[in-house]
Amino acid sequence: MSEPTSDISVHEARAGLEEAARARRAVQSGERRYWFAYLGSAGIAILILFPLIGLLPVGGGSGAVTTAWSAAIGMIVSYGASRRLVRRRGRFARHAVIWATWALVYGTALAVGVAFFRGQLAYWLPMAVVVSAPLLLGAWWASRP
Amino acid sequence: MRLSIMATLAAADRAEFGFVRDTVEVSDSVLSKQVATLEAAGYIEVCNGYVGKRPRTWLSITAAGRRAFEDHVAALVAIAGPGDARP
Repeated sequence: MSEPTSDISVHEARAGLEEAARARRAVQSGERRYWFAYLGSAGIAILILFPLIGLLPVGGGSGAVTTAWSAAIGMIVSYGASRRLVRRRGRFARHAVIWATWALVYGTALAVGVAFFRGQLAYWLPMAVVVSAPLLLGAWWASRP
Repeated sequence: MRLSIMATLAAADRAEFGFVRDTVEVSDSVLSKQVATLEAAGYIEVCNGYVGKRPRTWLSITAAGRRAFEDHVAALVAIAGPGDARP
């Protein structure tokens, strides 16, 4: 990259700026697609598996579901890392907020559910929506410019 | 082309070689040459690693590269005239 000189025409300067803007948009687009798929698939996985943790009896599948959930997240994280081609600058805080919010909601809902509502559909189904909401909303948020 | 490479890296913490190649729309060999030139100038850093068993080459812009890019864009804006926002 060399310093532009007065030999560059207005047209060429505008073409250069447009080229740079196009490159920036490509980075934004790549990052948005990645986070939409990553957070969206994690949100759907928790939406399906979270109720099973509380509805299945202890020793009758609850532990297996927790293991399956952990494996699903591990696979999503691992697959996501292998597919991630670009890290957009200045996006760390946004993703930290999404995951921190999810961890807080998940931990609270799980602790309350296991202590007081084990096996009660009326608790675990709505809570599955609540617990998956930070990830699904995060997918939507991350997909925004 | 170097402007596109620098613009891509300026918008990212880091970008994979193939992503930059597809964004700039050049071949591997052409991008490799440009990357070597920019790396020699101290504008970008190249980091080789693995994701699983798959080798990956990551590119990132240096502080000097970011300053040079911003100066370059400012000069282009000055030439292009008012109304042309920075990328």
